[in-house]
Amino acid sequence: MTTLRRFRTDDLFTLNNINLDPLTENYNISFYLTYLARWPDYFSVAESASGQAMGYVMGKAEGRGKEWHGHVTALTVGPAFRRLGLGKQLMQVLEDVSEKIYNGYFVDLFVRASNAVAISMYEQLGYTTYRRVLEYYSGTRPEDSEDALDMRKALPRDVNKESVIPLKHPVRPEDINFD
Amino acid sequence: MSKRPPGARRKAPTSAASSRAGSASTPSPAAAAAAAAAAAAAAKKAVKEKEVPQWQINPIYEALDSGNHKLALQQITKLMKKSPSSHILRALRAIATVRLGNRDEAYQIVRKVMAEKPTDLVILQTLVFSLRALGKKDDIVELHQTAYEQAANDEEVANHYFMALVRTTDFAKWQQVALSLSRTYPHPKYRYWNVVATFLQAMHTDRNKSTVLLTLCERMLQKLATENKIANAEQLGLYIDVLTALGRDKAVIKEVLDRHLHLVKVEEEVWRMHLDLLPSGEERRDLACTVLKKNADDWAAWTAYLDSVIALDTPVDDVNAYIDSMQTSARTRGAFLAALEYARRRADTDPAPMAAYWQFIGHKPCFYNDVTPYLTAYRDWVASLTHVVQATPKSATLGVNLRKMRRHLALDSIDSVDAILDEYLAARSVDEDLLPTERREADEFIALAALYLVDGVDKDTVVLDGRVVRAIGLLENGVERSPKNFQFKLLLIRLYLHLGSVSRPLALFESMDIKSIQLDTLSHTLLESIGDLGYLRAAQGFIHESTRIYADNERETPEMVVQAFTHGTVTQVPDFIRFYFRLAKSTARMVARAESWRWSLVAAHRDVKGLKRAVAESEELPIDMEELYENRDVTVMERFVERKAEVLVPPPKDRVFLEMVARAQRVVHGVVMGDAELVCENVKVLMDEEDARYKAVAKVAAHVGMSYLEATAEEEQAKDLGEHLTAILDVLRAAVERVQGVVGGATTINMPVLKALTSVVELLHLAAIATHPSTLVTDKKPPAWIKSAVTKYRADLQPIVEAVQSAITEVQGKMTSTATPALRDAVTAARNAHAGELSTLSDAWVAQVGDDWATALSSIGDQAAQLALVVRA
Repeated sequence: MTTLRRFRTDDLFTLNNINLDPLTENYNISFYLTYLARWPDYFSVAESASGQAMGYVMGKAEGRGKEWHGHVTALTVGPAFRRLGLGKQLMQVLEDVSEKIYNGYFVDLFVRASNAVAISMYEQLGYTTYRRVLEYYSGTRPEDSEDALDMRKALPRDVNKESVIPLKHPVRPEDINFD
Repeated sequence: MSKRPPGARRKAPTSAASSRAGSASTPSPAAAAAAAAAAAAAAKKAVKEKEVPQWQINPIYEALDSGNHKLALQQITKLMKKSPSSHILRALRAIATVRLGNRDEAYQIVRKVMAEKPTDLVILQTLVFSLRALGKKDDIVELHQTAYEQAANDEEVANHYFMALVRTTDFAKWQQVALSLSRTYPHPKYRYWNVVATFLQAMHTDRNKSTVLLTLCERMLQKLATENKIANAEQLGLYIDVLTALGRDKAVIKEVLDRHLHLVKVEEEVWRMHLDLLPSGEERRDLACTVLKKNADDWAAWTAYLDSVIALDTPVDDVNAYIDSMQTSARTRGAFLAALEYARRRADTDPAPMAAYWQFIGHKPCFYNDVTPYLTAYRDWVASLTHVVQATPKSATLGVNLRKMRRHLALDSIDSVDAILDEYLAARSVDEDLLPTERREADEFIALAALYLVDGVDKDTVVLDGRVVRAIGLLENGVERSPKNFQFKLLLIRLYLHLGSVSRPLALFESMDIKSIQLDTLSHTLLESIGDLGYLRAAQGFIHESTRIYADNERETPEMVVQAFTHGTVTQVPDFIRFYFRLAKSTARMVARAESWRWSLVAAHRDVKGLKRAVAESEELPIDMEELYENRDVTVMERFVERKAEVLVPPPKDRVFLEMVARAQRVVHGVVMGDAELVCENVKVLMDEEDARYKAVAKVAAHVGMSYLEATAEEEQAKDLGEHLTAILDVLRAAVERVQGVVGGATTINMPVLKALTSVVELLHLAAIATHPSTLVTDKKPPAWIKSAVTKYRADLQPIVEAVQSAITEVQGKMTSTATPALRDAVTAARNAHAGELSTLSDAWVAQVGDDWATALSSIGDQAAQLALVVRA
């Protein structure tokens, strides 16, 4: 049982069961609040019947012309609430917002090339790998850096699904600026 | 080429994560273009004013941008020979000066330029760079206010003034300027600024005034609505927030919503709002069914459905038939939990829906969490349930969930530990190929066993309870296998603190990578214990690190309020302000401040000079505690019980503590700094403190204050002074006696032992304040009656200090004679207990705990020795 609703700043104080998870990043104040100030409709939380946060998604709209799209910045589900389809529900919200509010051509996301669990989940939701981004995740040591897969799913506005035709060659992080 | 003020280039947030998440932190193209255009326009203006030509200024920007502040200063000095009154040169000079560390000089430069009332935006923004670096918030407002008064018709200056104001919390002033803007300029955004400012004023005032202000907001929004000027979902959201705050009928709110439905573009969002606003009945029920058809897991819809069928007196069979059909067609948690919720509302305790939920999702980790609110009604059913754990993921989780329910209902006890560990051994192979970052379900057996082991441990015992060591062994082995299990770590931190050890808790805390807002919600367990345990230096360090978030809040959140206004997300402004206050007035923050005050003073009390410096540097605690926010997370650590009490550590420090420290702080401040009035105002509350936990400290502080007042009275008060000093000695003697009792009975070293020693040292420190004649009287030379009273007091304190020191020595002796051997025995006993291979601790572990004890005892001993010198001097 899930209640999907807009994320509010008060929620930032009650995310520990999700954010203590090692793969979930804790951002600074400006990061969360910038998203709320600019794309409040893109920031949603999934709440349990007792009001506990189970997972959340944050995203944004960016790009020019046919590159105008919704971007998944963070999608996370608390360790106790995985494999229940919550990720799917949260992604649905983000896709709805991208399509109906921002009228984008596609939705994209970046995932660690090694994160097989996440990649397979996104594939089930209709995402395909558009390109590989070399050393997108930088670590403190060179061997810690890792490639990202840029995965995309076309929205109805992209009638011919041009936005998801895979690139033949990988790109560097500096090549993917949408601003 | 136009130039922006140096440093205007926004730096990426410090969080390493931001680089991974793409370019979220960079300004949008539109914002950047607008900023550039504004700077260009402003730069042109600067040229028109016959300032120094731009081409001569550019090299200065370049020097500042590249961090070459000395070069910039040389260039400025050279140009200033020709243009000594140039605003831009002087404003840039201030930046270079502040960056070279000459803060006072920089501030003087800025103030001189400000006195000439500049209105040029480039000058204003350049001055703001220095003022912000100097932390002069009020000056930033003043700067813009003056410019606004000078150039009342300049819309851009007015905008900047408003943005300077919204970095403060002076909502009345926000409102004043927003109102004036909305009257002068046609853009409707100013009217929304006015509504937001009025709304915030309403949120921060008394009820009567609040209603008046909210009604005003409502009228302004009604007017905007009739003019068709509610243009987006944010503005509509603000309207709804105002109506909700006013307590308007849901029907009224729904009417407003429906008139602007075209602004809500996602159908699900409309449904969600309607479900919330419709009265229970057919319409709400039908809408709920529509929503459930699309997402049978939607709990808001299920709640609305159940509300409605109950209001409509729908036959139970019909409702159950609907729920059944949803369970068959969609198979979601929501549909199954709805059956439980429906049964609960009818007080029906037939176990069928619980059994169905168990059947459906008993093998998922979320099960226990989901059924917690319903469990008590199904006690017999749970008691009759059996499950033999096997090495499959489903079986392991079923076993874990059954154990959790049994714990919740008190059907198991410490006698079940061996069986639980057997279940762990049977199940654990299923997790072996999981990544270390993944949740391992079998780990839950370990957490349960550890909790049962420590359930019965008396937190005040001064004899080592072997169950604590066995539990630590289980959890440490668990962490080795599952290095990312934060439940293990949260529990371990508490068990170690009970043992009087902090090095491992600090390392565990660090390993969880706790940062940002988590520092406010999760630091308290450690922060509130380290000092009490005697680790004064570690306490100071930990407080310093964990309170960074509050400085971040001061720096970052006001800028976010500006962003919300800039992007027109008007519903976010009140939320951001609330967020700001929740951190600025956080209980955790105030407790950190109280702890910092306590331990920094004890550490600095070598002489009057050190004490004075520490008092002067300390941050004051507020007296008005009503306004504090409680953000400390006391639920994230799972205990699987109805009432979530702390485990082996005291509950979070409360308002009684904060108020006592706030008063003591004022009394000590008054005494040390010679402020009799401050002492007078606060001494009585301390004298009347009845809470047993804080009575001794409060009494000593109060009598120190009273001694000061007697000693500084106009006439001789020898008798009264003597009485107060005697009263201090009485409290101290009683405290020492108590400590001797604790120490005498102790065979181990742990929190109660260390706390007893630390608390008496804290009392000694407070008592020693009354030994400083120079702080007791304002004259250089104390009169004879004071001198003799203090001499006697010092002499009387002497044996007390010695008693404290010998108590510390006694405990140090016990370290080798009883405490360490007992620890070693407990480790062996744990190893020999059932499934002992799961609870092994090494000799190095025993040595580490011993090292911690030694550190704490030598820290406490050093403080006592330091105070012995103070008393003797």
